[in-house]
Amino acid sequence: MNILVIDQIAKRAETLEQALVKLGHNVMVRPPGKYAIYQMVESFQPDVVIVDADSPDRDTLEDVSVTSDRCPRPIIFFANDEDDEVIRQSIQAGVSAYIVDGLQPNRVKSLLNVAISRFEQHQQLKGELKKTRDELADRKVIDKAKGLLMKHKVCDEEAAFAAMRKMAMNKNVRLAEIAQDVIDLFG
Amino acid sequence: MQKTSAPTQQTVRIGYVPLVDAAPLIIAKEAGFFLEENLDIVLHRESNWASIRDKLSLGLIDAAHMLAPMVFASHITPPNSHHDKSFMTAMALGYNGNAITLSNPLFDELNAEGKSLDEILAALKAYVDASESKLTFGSVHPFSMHTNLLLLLLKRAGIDKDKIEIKVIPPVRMVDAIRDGLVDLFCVGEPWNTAAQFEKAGKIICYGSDLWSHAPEKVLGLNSKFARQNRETHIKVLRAIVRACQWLEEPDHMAQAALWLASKRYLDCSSDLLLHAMVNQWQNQANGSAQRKIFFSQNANAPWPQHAKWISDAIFNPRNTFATDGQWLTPPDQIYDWEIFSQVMTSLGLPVPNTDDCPGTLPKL
Repeated sequence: MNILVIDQIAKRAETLEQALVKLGHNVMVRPPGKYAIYQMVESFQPDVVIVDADSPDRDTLEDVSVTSDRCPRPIIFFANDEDDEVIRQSIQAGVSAYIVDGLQPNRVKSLLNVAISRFEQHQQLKGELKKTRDELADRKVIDKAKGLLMKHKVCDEEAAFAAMRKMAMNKNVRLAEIAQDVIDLFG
Repeated sequence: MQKTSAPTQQTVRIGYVPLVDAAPLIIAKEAGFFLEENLDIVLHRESNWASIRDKLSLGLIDAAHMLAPMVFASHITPPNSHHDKSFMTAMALGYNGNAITLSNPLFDELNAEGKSLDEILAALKAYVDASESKLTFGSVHPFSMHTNLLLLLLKRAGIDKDKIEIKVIPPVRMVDAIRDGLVDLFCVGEPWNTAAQFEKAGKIICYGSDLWSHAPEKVLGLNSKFARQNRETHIKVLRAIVRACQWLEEPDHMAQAALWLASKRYLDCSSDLLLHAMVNQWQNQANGSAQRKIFFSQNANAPWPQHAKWISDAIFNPRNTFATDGQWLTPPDQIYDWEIFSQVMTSLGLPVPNTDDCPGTLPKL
Protein backbone atom coordinates (compact mmCIF):
# COMPACT_ATOMS: atom_id res chain seq x y z
CA MET A 1 0.00 0.00 0.00
CA ASN A 2 0.99 3.64 -0.43
CA ILE A 3 1.26 5.17 3.00
CA LEU A 4 1.75 8.88 3.62
CA VAL A 5 3.10 9.75 7.07
CA ILE A 6 2.70 13.36 8.26
CA ASP A 7 4.43 14.10 11.53
CA GLN A 8 6.12 17.13 13.03
CA ILE A 9 8.52 14.99 15.09
CA ALA A 10 11.13 13.86 12.58
CA LYS A 11 12.67 11.14 14.71
CA ARG A 12 9.33 9.52 15.45
CA ALA A 13 8.36 9.64 11.76
CA GLU A 14 11.65 7.98 10.87
CA THR A 15 11.15 4.99 13.17
CA LEU A 16 7.58 4.59 11.90
CA GLU A 17 8.76 4.72 8.29
CA GLN A 18 11.35 1.99 8.92
CA ALA A 19 8.75 -0.27 10.51
CA LEU A 20 6.24 0.23 7.68
CA VAL A 21 8.82 -0.32 4.95
CA LYS A 22 9.78 -3.57 6.69
CA LEU A 23 6.14 -4.66 6.29
CA GLY A 24 6.50 -4.11 2.56
CA HIS A 25 4.73 -0.80 2.12
CA ASN A 26 5.59 2.15 -0.03
CA VAL A 27 6.06 5.00 2.43
CA MET A 28 6.37 8.75 2.01
CA VAL A 29 7.17 10.89 5.04
CA ARG A 30 6.53 14.62 5.23
CA PRO A 31 6.53 17.21 7.96
CA PRO A 32 3.20 19.04 8.24
CA GLY A 33 2.77 22.53 6.90
CA LYS A 34 0.97 24.80 4.53
CA TYR A 35 -0.09 23.69 1.09
CA ALA A 36 2.24 20.77 0.67
CA ILE A 37 -0.53 18.50 1.97
CA TYR A 38 -2.78 19.14 -1.04
CA GLN A 39 0.02 18.45 -3.51
CA MET A 40 1.28 15.39 -1.66
CA VAL A 41 -2.09 13.67 -1.64
CA GLU A 42 -2.58 14.43 -5.30
CA SER A 43 0.81 13.24 -6.49
CA PHE A 44 1.41 10.30 -4.14
CA GLN A 45 -2.19 8.93 -4.15
CA PRO A 46 -1.94 7.32 -0.72
CA ASP A 47 -4.19 4.46 0.36
CA VAL A 48 -3.57 5.42 3.94
CA VAL A 49 -2.48 8.66 5.58
CA ILE A 50 -1.07 8.38 9.09
CA VAL A 51 -0.92 11.74 10.78
CA ASP A 52 0.13 13.20 14.09
CA ALA A 53 -3.32 13.83 15.61
CA ASP A 54 -2.15 16.95 17.38
CA SER A 55 -1.03 18.78 14.28
CA PRO A 56 -3.18 21.81 13.42
CA ASP A 57 -2.66 20.87 9.77
CA ARG A 58 -5.06 17.98 10.15
CA ASP A 59 -7.91 20.32 9.32
CA THR A 60 -6.33 20.86 5.93
CA LEU A 61 -6.43 17.08 5.43
CA GLU A 62 -10.15 17.21 6.22
CA ASP A 63 -10.53 19.51 3.23
CA VAL A 64 -8.63 17.07 1.01
CA SER A 65 -10.86 14.25 2.22
CA VAL A 66 -14.04 16.14 1.36
CA THR A 67 -13.03 17.55 -2.00
CA SER A 68 -10.62 15.15 -3.74
CA ASP A 69 -11.87 12.38 -6.00
CA ARG A 70 -9.75 9.58 -4.64
CA CYS A 71 -9.72 10.85 -1.16
CA PRO A 72 -8.62 9.12 2.00
CA ARG A 73 -11.42 9.71 4.55
CA PRO A 74 -11.27 9.80 8.35
CA ILE A 75 -10.90 6.23 9.60
CA ILE A 76 -13.17 6.98 12.51
CA PHE A 77 -16.23 6.57 10.30
CA PHE A 78 -15.19 3.29 8.68
CA ALA A 79 -14.63 1.19 11.72
CA ASN A 80 -17.25 -1.11 13.13
CA ASP A 81 -17.52 -1.86 16.82
CA GLU A 82 -14.74 -4.43 17.06
CA ASP A 83 -12.28 -2.06 15.37
CA ASP A 84 -13.14 0.78 17.68
CA GLU A 85 -10.74 -0.32 20.39
CA VAL A 86 -7.63 -0.09 18.23
CA ILE A 87 -8.78 3.26 16.86
CA ARG A 88 -9.44 4.52 20.37
CA GLN A 89 -5.96 3.42 21.38
CA SER A 90 -4.43 5.11 18.38
CA ILE A 91 -6.15 8.40 19.08
CA GLN A 92 -5.09 8.23 22.70
CA ALA A 93 -1.54 7.68 21.52
CA GLY A 94 -1.85 10.72 19.24
CA VAL A 95 -2.15 8.86 15.91
CA SER A 96 -4.88 9.59 13.43
CA ALA A 97 -5.50 7.90 10.10
CA TYR A 98 -7.31 8.50 6.83
CA ILE A 99 -8.06 5.59 4.51
CA VAL A 100 -9.43 5.32 0.98
CA ASP A 101 -12.87 3.93 0.30
CA GLY A 102 -13.06 0.19 -0.06
CA LEU A 103 -10.06 -0.57 2.10
CA GLN A 104 -11.01 -2.96 4.89
CA PRO A 105 -10.40 -1.47 8.31
CA ASN A 106 -8.84 -4.75 9.53
CA ARG A 107 -6.08 -4.35 6.94
CA VAL A 108 -5.28 -1.03 8.53
CA LYS A 109 -5.30 -2.39 12.06
CA SER A 110 -1.81 -3.82 11.88
CA LEU A 111 -0.53 -0.51 10.51
CA LEU A 112 -2.18 1.34 13.35
CA ASN A 113 -0.67 -1.02 15.89
CA VAL A 114 2.77 -0.27 14.50
CA ALA A 115 2.10 3.46 14.64
CA ILE A 116 0.69 3.26 18.15
CA SER A 117 3.80 1.59 19.52
CA ARG A 118 6.09 4.14 17.84
CA PHE A 119 4.04 7.06 19.07
CA GLU A 120 3.70 5.74 22.60
CA GLN A 121 7.46 5.68 22.94
CA HIS A 122 7.46 9.40 22.32
CA GLN A 123 4.30 10.36 24.10
CA GLN A 124 4.59 13.05 26.72
CA LEU A 125 2.09 11.75 29.21
CA LYS A 126 3.72 13.56 32.09
CA GLY A 127 2.35 16.98 31.19
CA GLU A 128 -1.24 15.74 30.94
CA LEU A 129 -1.05 13.83 34.21
CA LYS A 130 0.35 16.85 36.00
CA LYS A 131 -2.46 19.03 34.69
CA THR A 132 -5.09 16.58 35.95
CA ARG A 133 -3.42 16.47 39.36
CA ASP A 134 -3.29 20.29 39.48
CA GLU A 135 -6.98 20.48 38.67
CA LEU A 136 -7.89 18.04 41.41
CA ALA A 137 -5.83 20.07 43.86
CA ASP A 138 -7.55 23.29 42.70
CA ARG A 139 -10.93 21.76 43.21
CA LYS A 140 -10.13 20.63 46.75
CA VAL A 141 -8.79 24.06 47.72
CA ILE A 142 -11.83 25.86 46.27
CA ASP A 143 -14.23 23.48 48.00
CA LYS A 144 -12.52 23.99 51.32
CA ALA A 145 -12.47 27.78 50.98
CA LYS A 146 -16.14 27.78 50.01
CA GLY A 147 -16.97 25.83 53.17
CA LEU A 148 -14.96 28.21 55.33
CA LEU A 149 -16.61 31.26 53.81
CA MET A 150 -20.08 29.75 54.31
CA LYS A 151 -19.24 29.05 57.95
CA HIS A 152 -17.55 32.33 58.84
CA LYS A 153 -19.61 34.68 56.72
CA VAL A 154 -22.83 32.72 57.36
CA CYS A 155 -23.70 32.83 53.68
CA ASP A 156 -24.95 30.28 51.18
CA GLU A 157 -22.95 28.51 48.48
CA GLU A 158 -23.84 30.95 45.73
CA ALA A 159 -22.77 33.96 47.80
CA ALA A 160 -19.53 32.24 48.75
CA PHE A 161 -18.68 31.67 45.09
CA ALA A 162 -19.71 35.20 44.16
CA ALA A 163 -17.43 36.60 46.88
CA MET A 164 -14.46 34.54 45.70
CA ARG A 165 -15.09 35.48 42.07
CA LYS A 166 -15.12 39.16 43.00
CA MET A 167 -11.88 38.85 44.96
CA ALA A 168 -10.23 36.95 42.12
CA MET A 169 -11.24 39.70 39.72
CA ASN A 170 -10.09 42.52 41.95
CA LYS A 171 -6.69 40.92 42.33
CA ASN A 172 -6.54 39.48 38.80
CA VAL A 173 -5.66 35.99 39.95
CA ARG A 174 -7.10 32.50 39.55
CA LEU A 175 -9.96 31.36 41.77
CA ALA A 176 -7.75 28.67 43.31
CA GLU A 177 -5.27 31.31 44.48
CA ILE A 178 -8.00 33.33 46.20
CA ALA A 179 -9.28 30.12 47.75
CA GLN A 180 -5.81 29.52 49.20
CA ASP A 181 -5.84 33.05 50.68
CA VAL A 182 -9.24 32.34 52.24
CA ILE A 183 -7.90 29.13 53.78
CA ASP A 184 -4.83 30.94 55.10
CA LEU A 185 -7.08 33.54 56.70
CA PHE A 186 -9.81 31.34 58.23
CA GLY A 187 -8.33 27.87 58.10
CA MET B 1 -30.50 27.12 42.40
CA GLN B 2 -29.83 23.55 43.31
CA LYS B 3 -28.05 23.26 46.65
CA THR B 4 -26.75 19.77 46.75
CA SER B 5 -23.69 18.64 48.59
CA ALA B 6 -23.90 15.20 47.03
CA PRO B 7 -20.58 13.40 46.52
CA THR B 8 -18.52 14.32 43.48
CA GLN B 9 -20.17 13.48 40.17
CA GLN B 10 -18.62 11.57 37.32
CA THR B 11 -15.97 13.56 35.52
CA VAL B 12 -17.21 15.23 32.33
CA ARG B 13 -14.53 15.82 29.70
CA ILE B 14 -15.06 18.82 27.43
CA GLY B 15 -12.84 19.60 24.44
CA TYR B 16 -12.19 23.03 22.97
CA VAL B 17 -10.06 24.74 20.35
CA PRO B 18 -8.18 27.76 21.75
CA LEU B 19 -10.26 30.68 20.41
CA VAL B 20 -12.05 33.64 22.01
CA ASP B 21 -15.40 31.93 21.55
CA ALA B 22 -14.33 29.05 23.82
CA ALA B 23 -14.60 31.66 26.59
CA PRO B 24 -17.92 30.35 28.03
CA LEU B 25 -16.26 27.00 28.85
CA ILE B 26 -13.10 28.54 30.25
CA ILE B 27 -15.05 31.05 32.34
CA ALA B 28 -17.44 28.37 33.63
CA LYS B 29 -14.35 26.54 34.83
CA GLU B 30 -12.28 29.45 36.16
CA ALA B 31 -15.11 31.45 37.72
CA GLY B 32 -16.43 28.33 39.45
CA PHE B 33 -19.80 27.98 37.67
CA PHE B 34 -19.14 24.27 37.06
CA LEU B 35 -18.21 23.82 40.71
CA GLU B 36 -21.44 25.51 41.78
CA GLU B 37 -23.28 22.76 39.92
CA ASN B 38 -21.13 20.26 41.76
CA LEU B 39 -19.66 19.16 38.44
CA ASP B 40 -16.18 17.80 37.97
CA ILE B 41 -15.16 19.13 34.56
CA VAL B 42 -11.86 18.53 32.79
CA LEU B 43 -11.22 20.82 29.81
CA HIS B 44 -9.18 19.29 26.98
CA ARG B 45 -7.41 21.73 24.67
CA GLU B 46 -7.28 20.37 21.11
CA SER B 47 -5.23 21.79 18.27
CA ASN B 48 -7.67 21.03 15.47
CA TRP B 49 -11.35 20.42 14.74
CA ALA B 50 -10.68 16.92 13.41
CA SER B 51 -9.40 15.87 16.83
CA ILE B 52 -12.53 17.26 18.47
CA ARG B 53 -14.63 15.17 16.09
CA ASP B 54 -12.60 11.97 16.51
CA LYS B 55 -12.48 12.12 20.30
CA LEU B 56 -16.16 12.97 20.61
CA SER B 57 -17.07 10.14 18.20
CA LEU B 58 -15.21 7.58 20.27
CA GLY B 59 -16.25 8.93 23.64
CA LEU B 60 -12.74 10.03 24.61
CA ILE B 61 -14.38 13.35 25.41
CA ASP B 62 -18.07 13.80 26.27
CA ALA B 63 -18.78 17.28 24.94
CA ALA B 64 -17.01 19.97 22.95
CA HIS B 65 -16.85 23.54 21.76
CA MET B 66 -17.80 22.81 18.17
CA LEU B 67 -18.45 24.44 14.81
CA ALA B 68 -22.24 24.27 14.42
CA PRO B 69 -22.05 22.73 10.90
CA MET B 70 -19.82 19.91 12.23
CA VAL B 71 -22.69 18.70 14.39
CA PHE B 72 -24.77 18.24 11.24
CA ALA B 73 -21.90 16.79 9.20
CA SER B 74 -21.65 13.96 11.75
CA HIS B 75 -25.13 12.81 10.65
CA ILE B 76 -24.26 12.39 6.99
CA THR B 77 -23.53 9.02 5.42
CA PRO B 78 -21.03 8.52 3.95
CA PRO B 79 -18.61 8.97 5.61
CA ASN B 80 -20.36 8.36 8.93
CA SER B 81 -22.55 5.29 9.23
CA HIS B 82 -22.90 4.90 12.98
CA HIS B 83 -25.52 6.69 15.02
CA ASP B 84 -23.36 6.38 18.10
CA LYS B 85 -20.65 8.42 16.44
CA SER B 86 -22.92 11.35 15.77
CA PHE B 87 -23.40 14.54 17.76
CA MET B 88 -26.23 16.68 19.07
CA THR B 89 -26.55 20.02 20.79
CA ALA B 90 -29.01 21.82 23.02
CA MET B 91 -27.07 25.08 23.33
CA ALA B 92 -25.38 27.65 21.12
CA LEU B 93 -22.33 29.45 22.52
CA GLY B 94 -23.38 32.81 21.06
CA TYR B 95 -23.82 34.72 17.81
CA ASN B 96 -21.06 35.95 15.48
CA GLY B 97 -17.41 36.42 16.38
CA ASN B 98 -15.70 35.98 13.00
CA ALA B 99 -14.20 38.61 10.76
CA ILE B 100 -12.89 38.80 7.22
CA THR B 101 -9.33 39.95 6.67
CA LEU B 102 -7.64 40.94 3.41
CA SER B 103 -3.94 40.53 2.65
CA ASN B 104 -1.99 43.79 2.42
CA PRO B 105 -1.25 43.43 -1.32
CA LEU B 106 -4.91 42.76 -2.16
CA PHE B 107 -6.06 45.57 0.16
CA ASP B 108 -3.79 47.98 -1.73
CA GLU B 109 -4.73 46.54 -5.11
CA LEU B 110 -8.42 47.18 -4.35
CA ASN B 111 -7.72 50.63 -2.94
CA ALA B 112 -9.75 49.54 0.05
CA GLU B 113 -8.68 52.28 2.46
CA GLY B 114 -11.71 54.30 3.62
CA LYS B 115 -14.13 52.37 1.41
CA SER B 116 -17.41 50.79 2.47
CA LEU B 117 -17.78 47.03 2.35
CA ASP B 118 -19.87 47.15 -0.83
CA GLU B 119 -17.33 49.40 -2.54
CA ILE B 120 -14.57 46.95 -1.59
CA LEU B 121 -16.62 44.02 -2.89
CA ALA B 122 -17.28 45.83 -6.19
CA ALA B 123 -13.53 46.37 -6.55
CA LEU B 124 -12.94 42.72 -5.67
CA LYS B 125 -15.36 41.57 -8.38
CA ALA B 126 -13.71 43.81 -10.97
CA TYR B 127 -10.32 42.44 -9.94
CA VAL B 128 -11.46 38.80 -10.13
CA ASP B 129 -13.14 39.38 -13.53
CA ALA B 130 -9.97 40.90 -14.95
CA SER B 131 -7.58 38.37 -13.45
CA GLU B 132 -6.37 35.19 -15.09
CA SER B 133 -5.42 33.42 -11.90
CA LYS B 134 -7.72 32.45 -9.06
CA LEU B 135 -7.63 34.15 -5.69
CA THR B 136 -7.38 31.86 -2.65
CA PHE B 137 -9.62 32.30 0.38
CA GLY B 138 -8.89 30.67 3.75
CA SER B 139 -11.54 28.94 5.85
CA VAL B 140 -10.98 26.90 9.02
CA HIS B 141 -12.91 23.74 8.11
CA PRO B 142 -15.06 22.47 5.25
CA PHE B 143 -18.04 22.27 7.63
CA SER B 144 -17.90 25.67 9.31
CA MET B 145 -19.75 28.98 9.40
CA HIS B 146 -16.50 30.44 8.09
CA THR B 147 -17.03 28.59 4.82
CA ASN B 148 -20.65 29.76 4.77
CA LEU B 149 -19.67 33.38 5.44
CA LEU B 150 -17.14 33.27 2.61
CA LEU B 151 -19.88 31.96 0.30
CA LEU B 152 -22.19 34.77 1.47
CA LEU B 153 -19.42 37.29 0.80
CA LEU B 154 -19.00 35.93 -2.75
CA LYS B 155 -22.72 36.07 -3.31
CA ARG B 156 -22.92 39.67 -2.11
CA ALA B 157 -20.03 40.58 -4.41
CA GLY B 158 -21.65 38.72 -7.32
CA ILE B 159 -18.55 36.57 -7.79
CA ASP B 160 -18.93 33.02 -9.08
CA LYS B 161 -17.62 30.48 -6.58
CA ASP B 162 -15.58 28.79 -9.31
CA LYS B 163 -13.57 31.97 -9.76
CA ILE B 164 -11.86 31.54 -6.41
CA GLU B 165 -10.47 28.68 -4.40
CA ILE B 166 -11.30 28.03 -0.75
CA LYS B 167 -8.55 26.28 1.19
CA VAL B 168 -8.68 25.06 4.75
CA ILE B 169 -6.04 26.62 7.01
CA PRO B 170 -6.10 26.07 10.78
CA PRO B 171 -6.65 29.29 12.80
CA VAL B 172 -3.18 29.20 14.37
CA ARG B 173 -1.60 29.26 10.89
CA MET B 174 -3.89 31.92 9.41
CA VAL B 175 -1.71 34.96 10.13
CA ASP B 176 1.36 33.29 8.60
CA ALA B 177 -0.69 32.12 5.62
CA ILE B 178 -1.83 35.64 4.73
CA ARG B 179 1.61 37.13 5.37
CA ASP B 180 3.28 34.52 3.14
CA GLY B 181 0.73 35.01 0.37
CA LEU B 182 -0.78 31.52 0.67
CA VAL B 183 -4.22 33.11 1.01
CA ASP B 184 -5.45 36.49 -0.21
CA LEU B 185 -8.40 36.74 2.16
CA PHE B 186 -9.54 34.72 5.15
CA CYS B 187 -12.44 34.24 7.50
CA VAL B 188 -11.45 33.21 11.02
CA GLY B 189 -12.57 33.68 14.63
CA GLU B 190 -10.87 36.03 17.07
CA PRO B 191 -8.20 36.72 18.13
CA TRP B 192 -6.68 35.86 14.75
CA ASN B 193 -8.08 38.80 12.75
CA THR B 194 -6.90 41.24 15.39
CA ALA B 195 -3.57 39.39 15.49
CA ALA B 196 -3.17 39.84 11.72
CA GLN B 197 -3.75 43.59 12.14
CA PHE B 198 -1.41 43.79 15.16
CA GLU B 199 1.31 42.12 13.12
CA LYS B 200 0.50 44.24 10.06
CA ALA B 201 -0.04 41.06 8.04
CA GLY B 202 -3.52 42.00 6.85
CA LYS B 203 -6.52 44.29 7.39
CA ILE B 204 -10.02 43.49 8.63
CA ILE B 205 -12.62 44.56 6.05
CA CYS B 206 -15.76 43.38 7.82
CA TYR B 207 -17.19 41.36 10.64
CA GLY B 208 -19.25 38.24 10.11
CA SER B 209 -22.22 40.18 11.46
CA ASP B 210 -22.05 42.50 8.43
CA LEU B 211 -23.01 39.48 6.33
CA TRP B 212 -25.48 37.95 8.83
CA SER B 213 -26.42 40.04 11.85
CA HIS B 214 -27.06 37.16 14.26
CA ALA B 215 -25.21 34.26 12.70
CA PRO B 216 -24.86 30.92 14.46
CA GLU B 217 -21.27 30.00 15.22
CA LYS B 218 -20.13 27.50 17.89
CA VAL B 219 -22.33 25.19 19.93
CA LEU B 220 -21.73 22.85 22.81
CA GLY B 221 -21.72 19.57 20.88
CA LEU B 222 -22.31 16.31 22.72
CA ASN B 223 -21.75 12.73 21.76
CA SER B 224 -25.36 11.64 21.07
CA LYS B 225 -25.02 8.48 23.11
CA PHE B 226 -23.59 10.37 26.10
CA ALA B 227 -26.44 12.89 25.84
CA ARG B 228 -29.06 10.11 25.87
CA GLN B 229 -27.53 8.44 28.91
CA ASN B 230 -26.67 11.55 30.96
CA ARG B 231 -29.57 13.95 30.63
CA GLU B 232 -29.31 15.38 34.16
CA THR B 233 -25.57 15.94 33.91
CA HIS B 234 -26.05 17.56 30.50
CA ILE B 235 -28.54 20.01 32.01
CA LYS B 236 -26.15 20.93 34.82
CA VAL B 237 -23.30 21.49 32.37
CA LEU B 238 -25.51 23.80 30.31
CA ARG B 239 -26.69 25.69 33.40
CA ALA B 240 -23.07 26.48 34.27
CA ILE B 241 -22.25 27.54 30.70
CA VAL B 242 -25.34 29.75 30.36
CA ARG B 243 -24.31 31.52 33.58
CA ALA B 244 -20.78 31.94 32.21
CA CYS B 245 -22.22 33.47 29.01
CA GLN B 246 -24.28 35.87 31.13
CA TRP B 247 -21.16 36.77 33.12
CA LEU B 248 -19.20 37.38 29.90
CA GLU B 249 -21.63 40.07 28.75
CA GLU B 250 -20.76 42.42 31.62
CA PRO B 251 -18.29 45.00 30.27
CA ASP B 252 -16.65 45.09 33.72
CA HIS B 253 -15.70 41.45 33.36
CA MET B 254 -13.88 41.82 30.06
CA ALA B 255 -10.41 42.45 31.50
CA GLN B 256 -10.64 39.48 33.84
CA ALA B 257 -11.96 37.26 31.04
CA ALA B 258 -9.01 38.26 28.84
CA LEU B 259 -6.57 37.43 31.65
CA TRP B 260 -8.09 34.03 32.31
CA LEU B 261 -8.26 33.16 28.62
CA ALA B 262 -4.70 34.32 27.96
CA SER B 263 -3.16 31.94 30.50
CA LYS B 264 -0.75 29.26 29.41
CA ARG B 265 -3.24 26.47 30.03
CA TYR B 266 -5.86 28.00 27.70
CA LEU B 267 -5.18 30.29 24.73
CA ASP B 268 -1.55 30.89 25.71
CA CYS B 269 -1.32 34.33 24.11
CA SER B 270 -1.07 37.97 25.17
CA SER B 271 -4.00 39.23 27.25
CA ASP B 272 -3.50 42.57 25.53
CA LEU B 273 -4.31 41.01 22.18
CA LEU B 274 -7.38 39.29 23.62
CA LEU B 275 -8.64 42.42 25.31
CA HIS B 276 -8.18 44.31 22.08
CA ALA B 277 -10.05 41.63 20.13
CA MET B 278 -12.91 41.56 22.64
CA VAL B 279 -13.22 45.26 23.50
CA ASN B 280 -12.97 46.43 19.90
CA GLN B 281 -16.10 44.53 19.14
CA TRP B 282 -17.86 46.14 22.10
CA GLN B 283 -16.93 49.58 20.83
CA ASN B 284 -18.35 48.77 17.46
CA GLN B 285 -21.60 47.89 19.10
CA ALA B 286 -21.68 51.35 20.66
CA ASN B 287 -21.65 52.70 17.11
CA GLY B 288 -24.98 51.08 16.58
CA SER B 289 -24.03 47.95 14.66
CA ALA B 290 -24.11 44.43 16.05
CA GLN B 291 -20.54 43.62 15.19
CA ARG B 292 -19.50 42.09 18.45
CA LYS B 293 -19.56 38.54 19.64
CA ILE B 294 -22.85 38.09 21.49
CA PHE B 295 -22.46 35.52 24.24
CA PHE B 296 -25.84 35.74 25.95
CA SER B 297 -28.31 38.51 25.09
CA GLN B 298 -31.00 38.25 22.38
CA ASN B 299 -31.32 34.56 23.20
CA ALA B 300 -27.84 33.86 21.90
CA ASN B 301 -27.78 30.43 23.56
CA ALA B 302 -30.94 29.14 21.88
CA PRO B 303 -30.55 26.19 19.47
CA TRP B 304 -32.79 27.88 16.88
CA PRO B 305 -34.56 25.48 14.50
CA GLN B 306 -34.17 28.14 11.78
CA HIS B 307 -30.39 27.94 12.17
CA ALA B 308 -30.51 24.14 12.09
CA LYS B 309 -32.42 24.25 8.81
CA TRP B 310 -30.15 26.87 7.27
CA ILE B 311 -26.96 25.03 8.20
CA SER B 312 -28.22 21.61 7.10
CA ASP B 313 -29.40 23.03 3.76
CA ALA B 314 -26.07 24.78 3.21
CA ILE B 315 -24.17 21.46 3.43
CA PHE B 316 -25.98 20.26 0.28
CA ASN B 317 -26.25 23.60 -1.51
CA PRO B 318 -24.55 23.39 -4.92
CA ARG B 319 -23.15 26.89 -4.32
CA ASN B 320 -21.11 25.37 -1.49
CA THR B 321 -17.63 24.41 -2.69
CA PHE B 322 -17.62 21.65 -0.06
CA ALA B 323 -21.11 20.36 -0.84
CA THR B 324 -21.40 16.61 -0.33
CA ASP B 325 -23.72 14.10 -1.96
CA GLY B 326 -24.34 12.06 1.18
CA GLN B 327 -27.62 11.31 2.92
CA TRP B 328 -28.99 12.13 6.34
CA LEU B 329 -28.58 9.46 9.01
CA THR B 330 -30.96 11.48 11.21
CA PRO B 331 -33.60 13.98 10.10
CA PRO B 332 -31.71 17.30 10.42
CA ASP B 333 -34.54 18.90 12.40
CA GLN B 334 -33.90 16.41 15.21
CA ILE B 335 -30.29 17.36 15.86
CA TYR B 336 -30.86 20.57 17.86
CA ASP B 337 -32.65 19.80 21.14
CA TRP B 338 -34.93 22.70 22.07
CA GLU B 339 -36.55 20.86 24.96
CA ILE B 340 -33.34 20.50 26.99
CA PHE B 341 -32.49 24.14 26.31
CA SER B 342 -35.93 25.23 27.61
CA GLN B 343 -35.48 23.13 30.70
CA VAL B 344 -32.09 24.71 31.40
CA MET B 345 -33.41 28.27 31.00
CA THR B 346 -36.48 27.59 33.13
CA SER B 347 -34.41 26.04 35.91
CA LEU B 348 -32.26 29.20 35.96
CA GLY B 349 -35.34 31.41 36.13
CA LEU B 350 -34.58 32.82 32.66
CA PRO B 351 -37.23 33.36 29.97
CA VAL B 352 -37.57 30.77 27.19
CA PRO B 353 -38.07 32.45 23.82
CA ASN B 354 -40.71 31.43 21.32
CA THR B 355 -39.19 29.24 18.59
CA ASP B 356 -40.42 31.76 15.99
CA ASP B 357 -38.43 34.63 17.47
CA CYS B 358 -35.05 33.88 15.93
CA PRO B 359 -33.41 37.33 15.56
CA GLY B 360 -31.95 38.73 12.35
CA THR B 361 -32.81 37.94 8.76
CA LEU B 362 -31.62 34.59 7.46
CA PRO B 363 -29.50 35.32 4.38
CA LYS B 364 -29.99 33.37 1.16
CA LEU B 365 -27.01 31.32 0.11
